[in-house]
Amino acid sequence: MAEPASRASRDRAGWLRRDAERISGTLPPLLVEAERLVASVATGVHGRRQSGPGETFWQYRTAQPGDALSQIDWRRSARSDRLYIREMEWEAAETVLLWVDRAQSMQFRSAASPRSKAERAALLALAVAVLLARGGERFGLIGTEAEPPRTGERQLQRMAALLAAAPDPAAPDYGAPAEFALPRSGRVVFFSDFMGPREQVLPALRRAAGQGIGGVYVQILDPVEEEFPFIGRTRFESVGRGVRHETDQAAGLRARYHLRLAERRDELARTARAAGWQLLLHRTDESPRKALLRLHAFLGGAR
Amino acid sequence: MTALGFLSPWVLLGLAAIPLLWWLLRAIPPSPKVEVFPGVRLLLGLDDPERQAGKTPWWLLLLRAVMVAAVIVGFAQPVLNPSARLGQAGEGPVLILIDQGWASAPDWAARLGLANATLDEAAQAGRPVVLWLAADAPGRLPPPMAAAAARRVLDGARPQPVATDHAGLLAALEAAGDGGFGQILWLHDAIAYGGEATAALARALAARAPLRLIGPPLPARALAPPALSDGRMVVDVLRADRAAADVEVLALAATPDGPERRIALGRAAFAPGADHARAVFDLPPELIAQVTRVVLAQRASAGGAALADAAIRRVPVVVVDPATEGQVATLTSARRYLAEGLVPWADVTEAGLAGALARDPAAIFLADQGAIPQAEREALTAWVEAGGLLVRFAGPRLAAAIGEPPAAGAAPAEDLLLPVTLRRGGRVLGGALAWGAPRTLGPFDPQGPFRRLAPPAEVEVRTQVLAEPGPDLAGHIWATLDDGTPLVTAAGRGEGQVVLFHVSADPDWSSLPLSGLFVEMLGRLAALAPGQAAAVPSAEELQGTQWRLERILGPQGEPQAAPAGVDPVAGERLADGRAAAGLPPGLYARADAGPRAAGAAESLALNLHRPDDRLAPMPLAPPGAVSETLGGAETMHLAPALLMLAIALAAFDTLATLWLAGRMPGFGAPTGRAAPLALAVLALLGAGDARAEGAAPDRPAPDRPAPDRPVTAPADVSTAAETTLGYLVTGSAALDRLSERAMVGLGEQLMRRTAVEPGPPRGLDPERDELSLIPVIYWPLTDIAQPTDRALERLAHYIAHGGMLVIDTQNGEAGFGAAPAAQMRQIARALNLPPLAPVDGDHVLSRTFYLLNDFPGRWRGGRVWAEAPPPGADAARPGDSDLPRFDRVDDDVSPVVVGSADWAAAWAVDEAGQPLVPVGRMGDRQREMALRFGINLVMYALTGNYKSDQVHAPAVLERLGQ
Repeated sequence: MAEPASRASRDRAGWLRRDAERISGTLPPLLVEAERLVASVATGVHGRRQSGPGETFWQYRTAQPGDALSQIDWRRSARSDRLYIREMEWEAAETVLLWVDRAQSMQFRSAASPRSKAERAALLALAVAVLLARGGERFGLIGTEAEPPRTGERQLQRMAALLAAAPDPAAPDYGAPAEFALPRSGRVVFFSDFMGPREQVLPALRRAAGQGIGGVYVQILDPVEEEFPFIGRTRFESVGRGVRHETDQAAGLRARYHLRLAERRDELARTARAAGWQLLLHRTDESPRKALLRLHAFLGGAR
Repeated sequence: MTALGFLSPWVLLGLAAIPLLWWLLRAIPPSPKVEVFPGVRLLLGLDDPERQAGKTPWWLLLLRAVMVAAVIVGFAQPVLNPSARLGQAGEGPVLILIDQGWASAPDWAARLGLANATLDEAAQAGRPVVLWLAADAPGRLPPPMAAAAARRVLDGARPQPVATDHAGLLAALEAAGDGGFGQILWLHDAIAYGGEATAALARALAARAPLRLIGPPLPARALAPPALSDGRMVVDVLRADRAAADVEVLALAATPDGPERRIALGRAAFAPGADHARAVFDLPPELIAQVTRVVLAQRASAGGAALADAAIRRVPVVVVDPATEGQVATLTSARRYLAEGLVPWADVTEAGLAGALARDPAAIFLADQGAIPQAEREALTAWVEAGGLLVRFAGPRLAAAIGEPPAAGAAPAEDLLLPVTLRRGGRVLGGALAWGAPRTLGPFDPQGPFRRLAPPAEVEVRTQVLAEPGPDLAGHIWATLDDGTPLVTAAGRGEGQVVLFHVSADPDWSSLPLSGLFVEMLGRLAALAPGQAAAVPSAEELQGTQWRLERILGPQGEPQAAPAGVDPVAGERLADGRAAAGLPPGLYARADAGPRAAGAAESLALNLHRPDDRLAPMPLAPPGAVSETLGGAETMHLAPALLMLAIALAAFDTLATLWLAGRMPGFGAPTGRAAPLALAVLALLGAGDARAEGAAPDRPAPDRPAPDRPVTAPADVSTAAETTLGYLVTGSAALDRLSERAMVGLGEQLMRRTAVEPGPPRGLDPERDELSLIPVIYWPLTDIAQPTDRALERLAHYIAHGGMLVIDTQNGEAGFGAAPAAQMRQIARALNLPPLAPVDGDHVLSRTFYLLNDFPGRWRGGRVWAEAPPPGADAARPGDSDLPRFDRVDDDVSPVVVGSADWAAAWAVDEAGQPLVPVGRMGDRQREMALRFGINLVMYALTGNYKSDQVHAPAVLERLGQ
């Protein structure tokens, strides 16, 4: 699958898709939704704005000594006295690895939000994947069988199937990024609520950031988690019932909860800044389009 | 006087447990609610700002303590005002004598309560009781019995519509001897019955044992039967007390459809010290004649009610017309006008002047009579002075007799049988030889009997007799002409009255007899007649007759059907006209077949009181007797109220606990001081009142949106917001799921391939759901799902108003051939389907999106039917015969598409988008074709004639080009 991204591959995506339809009937609803989401974001195989391997014409230049004979564009050269070489724009596929937190805490959904955090994370991840597939980039899903980065519709289908799978009841309460083999260059996107114990979450993040590659933390929170609207005598339990805390006066905890949440975000942001990463905050009651646009800007613009 | 006692005081020891409860409750806080919250890890280690809030708040503790205390005190059976009428030292049976007559009815409940309390007391003391109900056992003293048995007797007792016979009670008491009573209670009526007998009875009782007299605070009032006085109905109210109070009396009339109707209310004001007062009902005579009963508005009883009898009924009147005496009355004779005019108001007989008095009339209407022979004159004068009403009419004979001495040989003197002295020579107005025009009527005397009548303008008086002017003439005039000359004059003569119409009773002199006013005037005059018909016939008349009780006056003065099995009573006993023992007040009907005298009554009303009866107050208590007033502080058991309070507190405790735990929707958490305030508000409103929830002063949780109250069902809103594919719910789970998944699958394909982006499909119950929001409804019409008539009716309405129904019999090639034909025909008729035709390749349905030749579903073959093109469509466009006619049904979208290919099976996908059902031999190709048909179908339904117009576009363009 290491073939260079080309117009042929774009065409190929078209018939791959038809192929995929023929094989698997139709796309999973998640993928359809992701594609609808992506439809608003401008896409395309991005040029490098410099000459290099590719198939889009970039410029003619006069042949210099040392250029291979085969590089000479004879048709252009025949119209003048000099020899010209036809240069192509450099189009390169990049590797983006995605990690979607599959822990129990991501399954949380309050009455105020339309989707659970896990659903929103899966949607955003798949939308990014669709964007990447359209751009011909290579992408993989960390911690799954789709981790080796590939591109194309087949990888997209595989990822969609993995992301649309039913939640695992045996998953841990809180997730942390798993170990993964980073490509030498590329980017990483982490989708999680980053609500786990800090001694688990932060080192994993630092380790990933420490490998010298760029990346984004996308913290997805439910509005309830941000606003803490609880009152009265309450026992809080994590989704997996693994962690509990009981209080007599939930409203009295609100201010300090907000403080701690802000601290956690600060810590995340500091860690990210230290490694040149970015922290994206997303709430499940917001439009996913907003987060996707920012993600796209980051993945597409900052390189 | 107020006292509190406990029947089981030892239960109060349980109150000692309340402090223990207090400690227990303080130790155990209320259980928290559980919230799933991923952010809990951030909360770890955060302490509560105030630990105190974790314990049960003091006001909830107080509430629970009060609740427990209420239960304990309630089980201790507290009694407010425990009865202490029986002396503790008393021995021997207790005699409880209850006056059970009509006067006991207004406070019967109080009597029962007091007697029951005394029985309870006797039961606790273990003393026997002699319960003597004065009306149930008037003649003998009942034997002693246990208090429990006496209570049963008391429960069955009701006040009786009789006057208590104190003389009979006294005799029975004397006959029973000493009795050896320990104590005597007499619940009396505060009315003396039978003169001295009441005082004697009190003395006799006091002589036997300590006597306690218990009487009502206000004795019952009684009513005399209604009577007529001066044209008004009057009712006398009798009383034994001297309290200053007005009394209201209701007059009731029978209605044709049964129940009595209240028609008037009269007030009687007692003069100080008077023992009776009169309520006057100023009613039209026809209403008075309808009155059946009068009853006291308050504190009614059998004595406080009276049945109307003949005294206010139609009076017997005699019409005398000397002009036609002995002849047959002609249609224009005065006799006929008088008789017909009086029939609505009175019992009319006709007689000669000589025979009139023999009929014992209340009134005599005497038409145009000249001089009256001396014998009749004397008899008439005597009759009038005794109370009779003589109404005379003028006429030629009277006019001729004016001025003649009343009797031959007597000095001309005032004629007692004329109200005024008349002038010789009458007055002729408006005749052929007269100057004046006929006169009309003037206003009536506002105090006279015609006060409510309006004189009509069309009555004309042409001839009248005139009265001699005199100083007292004005006082005699009841009605005048418009020039002030008298039309009707009247004068009192002894007890009776003489009335003269100054015109004749036939239409010769005036048109008055022709008007309705004449009938009304006669009615007013008839009402003036004294109720001389004896209310009760004399004993001689009643001799040998039998009477049966038909209606009886109940204890509250209400008429009831007479109890069955009452023997008829002999007429002689009724002659007294008053109800008595064995002769209850009510309506009696003649029951024998003996000879009837003319005009003899067929029914009699018997009341407890006659008009001249009076009530006497209870004499003073004999020395040594204790007097008590009924209705004082009564014994009251508090246990039920306390237990109810405990239950209400428990309910409120539940609410409060929920609220504390923050589980009450729409209420915030407790915030310190608000809670006791809420408790106070609740206490004011009555604990446990559900409305109090809204009164708790609390802020609503700010983070929760106010609940929407949509007018439309939420499902309808989302259905209307998006294009929605519908399917009919058949009740078969497998079929319905297949339909739903088919709509999902088709919807996904529409979204991918076309501009249609349908929302989630909707299952529809045609009997209830709103169908008009759905453009296409898929209907799997199989044997297992037959619609009801109402469903068919609504579906017919749906397709008649632009909806499209896709009927799929799902049985493949067999199609309708296999479906029960009669059933299909029935459904088609119920849906009011248009004629159908097979869809062929020209139909717009095969052109809307894809170009299709056949329409497979799960099965191939089988036809698809849609509305047939209208007959004559071919002829409608003769010039276009050379054009390809793709669409023969013109603009209309077929309201129904019928097929049998089981499209749902081909469209259906599971949640992962995989097909649910294997399809045909051709597999994916056939499924694709089925989906294309589905897309065409939806396009056809949504775009309709636009697509069919597009089909014509090439032809149109071609013609334009030419």
